[in-house]
Amino acid sequence: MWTIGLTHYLILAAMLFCIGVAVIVTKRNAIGILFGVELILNAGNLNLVAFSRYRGADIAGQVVAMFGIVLAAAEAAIAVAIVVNLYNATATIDVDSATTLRG
Amino acid sequence: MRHALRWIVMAGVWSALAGTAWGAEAPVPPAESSSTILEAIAFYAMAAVALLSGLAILVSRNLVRNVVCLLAALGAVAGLYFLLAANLLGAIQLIVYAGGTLVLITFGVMLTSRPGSDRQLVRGWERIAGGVVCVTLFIGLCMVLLCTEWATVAASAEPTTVAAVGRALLTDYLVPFELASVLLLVMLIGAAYLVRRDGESGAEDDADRC
Repeated sequence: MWTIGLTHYLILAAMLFCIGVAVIVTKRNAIGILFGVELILNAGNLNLVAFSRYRGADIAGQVVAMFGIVLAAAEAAIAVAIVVNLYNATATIDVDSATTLRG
Repeated sequence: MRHALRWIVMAGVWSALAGTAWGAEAPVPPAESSSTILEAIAFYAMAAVALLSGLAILVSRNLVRNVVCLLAALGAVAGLYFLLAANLLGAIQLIVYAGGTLVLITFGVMLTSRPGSDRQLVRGWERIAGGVVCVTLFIGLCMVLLCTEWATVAASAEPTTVAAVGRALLTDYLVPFELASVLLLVMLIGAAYLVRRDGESGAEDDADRC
């Protein structure tokens, strides 16, 4: 209980991942779905860093987590651009009402 | 109700910041009893902040409040990185995520929100089904995690240095590093292209270019 090991971090990351999935499935707002994606990416990065620490300070996990952060930043920028485009085309960002690809 | 939520969010943000500062000052205690307990307390505090902020994102319908909760969650995860002796990664998490990405998302919220018109959550039974799926997923993940024998090595006491990460980036991971820079360039051009504004003739222009 008081000795924090790898399993603690893995279970915390699993909780964050499941909360992110729940956010993605329950939100109708496109930006709200983006919040869930960010939570999931953070859970993955946390897993990578925890493995990096508890498998003998192997630096690979940290480097891959850094690439994960870069990918998350790129994904957020593209996602916000698409959402703004969707809003300009349909005046809403409700994902249930966005049923056509051509606005 | 509103005031209670506001206080919870403020407490989350402040505890994340305090936990981050504490984790930066006292990273990676060696295997002694008192520092082990301190590490455990820091871990549980930051885990609680991250999980509570995530749950607040899940239940709150106000997008601006969601942004603040996400800030608290990202700060708590950065504190966990500090606790895991990944100092550079914690700093990058705070700078890139909490500083850059979150501001970007805030702009997205400001540009697209119309107060009181959109429904934020799906219908009731869909919410319940999503919750059941997520709880099942979590139980499955926990069973896998707890049943696996992880071959852990005793954690080393000293944090990873920036020099080691930089050397790894420019030797073993050079190709992904360059690919990431190309990806960022493509993302920049793509985002600027997506949100360009050239009036009504956008569709025809697209057809011509294709």
